[in-house]
Amino acid sequence: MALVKRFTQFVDPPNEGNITQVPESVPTLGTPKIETRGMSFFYGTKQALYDINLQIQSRAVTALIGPSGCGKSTYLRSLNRMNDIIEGTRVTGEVLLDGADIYNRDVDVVSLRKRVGMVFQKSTPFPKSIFDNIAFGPRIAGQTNKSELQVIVERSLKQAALWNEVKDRLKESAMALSGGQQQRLCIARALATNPEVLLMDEPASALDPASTARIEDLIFELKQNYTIVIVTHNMQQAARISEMTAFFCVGRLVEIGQTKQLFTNPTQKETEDYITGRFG
Amino acid sequence: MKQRDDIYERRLIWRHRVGLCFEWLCRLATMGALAMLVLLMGSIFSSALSPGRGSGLAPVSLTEISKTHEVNGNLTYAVSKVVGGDFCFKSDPEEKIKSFSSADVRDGKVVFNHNGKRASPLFDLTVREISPGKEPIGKFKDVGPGHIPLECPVPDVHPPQPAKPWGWLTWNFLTHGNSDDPLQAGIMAGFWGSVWLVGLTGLMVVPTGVGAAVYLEEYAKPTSLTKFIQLNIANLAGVPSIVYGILGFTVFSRMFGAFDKQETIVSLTFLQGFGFKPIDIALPLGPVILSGACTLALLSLPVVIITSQETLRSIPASLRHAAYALGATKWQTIWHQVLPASLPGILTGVILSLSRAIGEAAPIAVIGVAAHLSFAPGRITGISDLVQNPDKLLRAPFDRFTALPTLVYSWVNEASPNFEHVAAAGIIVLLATLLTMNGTAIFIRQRFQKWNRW
Ligand SMILES: Nc1ncnc2c1ncn2[C@@H]1O[C@H](COP(=O)(O)OP(=O)(O)O)[C@@H](O)[C@H]1O
Ligand SMILES: [Mg+2]
Repeated sequence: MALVKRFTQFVDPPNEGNITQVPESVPTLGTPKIETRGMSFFYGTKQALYDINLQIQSRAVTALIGPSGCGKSTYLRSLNRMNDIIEGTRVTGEVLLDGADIYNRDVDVVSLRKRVGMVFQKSTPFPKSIFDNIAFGPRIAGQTNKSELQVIVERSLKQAALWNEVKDRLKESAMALSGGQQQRLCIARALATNPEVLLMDEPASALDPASTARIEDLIFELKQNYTIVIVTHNMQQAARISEMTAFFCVGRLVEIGQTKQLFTNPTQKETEDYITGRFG
Repeated sequence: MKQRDDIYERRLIWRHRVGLCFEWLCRLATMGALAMLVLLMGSIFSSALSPGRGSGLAPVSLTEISKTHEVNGNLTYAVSKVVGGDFCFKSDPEEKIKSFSSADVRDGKVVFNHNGKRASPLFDLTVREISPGKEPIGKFKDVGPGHIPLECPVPDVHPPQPAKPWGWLTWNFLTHGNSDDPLQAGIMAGFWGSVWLVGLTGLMVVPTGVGAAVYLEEYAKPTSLTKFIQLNIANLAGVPSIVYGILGFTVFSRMFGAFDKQETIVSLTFLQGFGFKPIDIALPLGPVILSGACTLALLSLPVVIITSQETLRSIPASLRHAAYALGATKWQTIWHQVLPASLPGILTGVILSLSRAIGEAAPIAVIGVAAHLSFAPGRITGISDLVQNPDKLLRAPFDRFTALPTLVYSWVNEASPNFEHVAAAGIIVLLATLLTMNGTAIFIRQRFQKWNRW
């Protein structure tokens, strides 16, 4: 039933002829975890996203690809309202999480961010011990029981495949970890608040190939239990780890489809140009 | 399930309230800082413009003395001559008058501060040297207005001393109060005075300065008012310290002359509820530790605000974003992440400005601090004394005091021989105190910086 609007023109407003039926191959499994309807985004007067209609399936990886500055990060941040921090931003349209609009006035941003965790491009451990890094989220949510915190820390670190490397130095500074370890620490930290959705903004772009592979393995594991949205510049990576891929260009959603289909048989010329240009 | 929702709801409300409180506290700190700075300007103008009022602490002459002519609890008696060390009044059961020394005698008069008790004290005055075991060296009765003769023996004048291994920096020097005799003069009163001064200054300046910095950096919108405040704070960091001394004298020591006609005593009787003796505070405060600490707090406030702001600004935005993304509210982010991360920088600023404050002689001199005191603030003589009379801790801030730089300055100005050596020893103590403070700052910074490697 899902209708996906497509635009052939980036600048001109869409017309009737450009709205096409979704190909049969797009899975429409139940209700989507996240859905944006007619969502536009503004930095002050500058519009960064135009009328985005996108569904994100539960317990699957959705990759967002596209050239730099096309609004992938903006879109990702609007899913847990991290854009609220930036002065003068504005959203129109709907962003539904489990069918409820997260921009509704009575939504508590703080509890929303606990449900929708985020991992940034640059790993940002807090200048504290490894333990305190992971325990920060549960602590500010009101968890003060030390033994329960220990359980949470161990569980999160195991989920992020970091436990074996750091279990003997939980009290040491997180700043002393390697880049790849820091990024997995950030993933563990995001998992500690027990989120339903994990947003990742180019989580491996600053890492060496070995660390990248570890992160990819991790994402593959995590999608059993979490809904993951990942922004990536690396198209092989998108092809390897994601079920669905969305292609953004200049603030618009050009195409969304099953990853395999989008990479082998894109319906839009822009998508094809971008993919082939990158693949060489 | 319903109950858990309720709990969660309540927690949300509380989190919101705590956040608001935090913001308002920070805003209050900014307003407090601003108000003090406005006071600064106001007091300078009021001092400059008021015609010939004179100092509220000027003594009245003996012939005028009567209950109505008492000023600020100061009674003036004429004394023929006092030479030598410190004296105290023996038969003074209520301890209305504590002690005086030859330095308190000026132009044949000595001003007694009887701690603000309204009535003229009536008692037998027996003078003896304060050192234990000394015989009384003079006796006189309170005969009301009149001349009180006081004969004291003139001590020998010491010849210049030969050099010793530790020179003048002896144990006696460290543990004794000031004296007219260079061999007896010690730095104890000044050292403890400075410790109290810096401690109270720190207590006042850290919450206000950091709070104001947090408000200006994290909460305030960049309106023209904010910019104006910012500009003012930057300017005030460069105001000479003597100007702050005038502020301290007018505002804290003299209290705008509001109590010139009749002194006022505020009695903190509620302390009895905690098992302490009530404390009487005479207004205006006069040159007590609290006045000095308030003055030095104002002096260091702009620097603390500016360095704290700079440190807060240097914390990367990514740290804040990471905290927000985990569901932290604004105040949780500031309190649990931003402030701890900026602690080394803030501490550095605080210690640097406090070590500037501890070395300041000018503002302390302006508020009227005397050099010739031989007791530590609150007359605390040691740990055991403190354990027995814990209320002395509360008394100390309202006690007269002297500070290290004041002592050094007075010794340098002393005419009699050998005082130059005493001054040199005092300077060494002052430097050692400063180095210890700075060393502590560096140590703390190193400890914390280990964690902060961006
Ligand atoms: N904080 C901001 N203020 C104003 N404009 C911004 C801000 N962040 C991003 N933009 C603009 O929004 C557009 C989309 O940026 P972004 O979402 O970061 O793109 P991407 O992640 O795809 O590279 C860009 O043109 C960028 O200049
Ligand atoms: Mg981006």
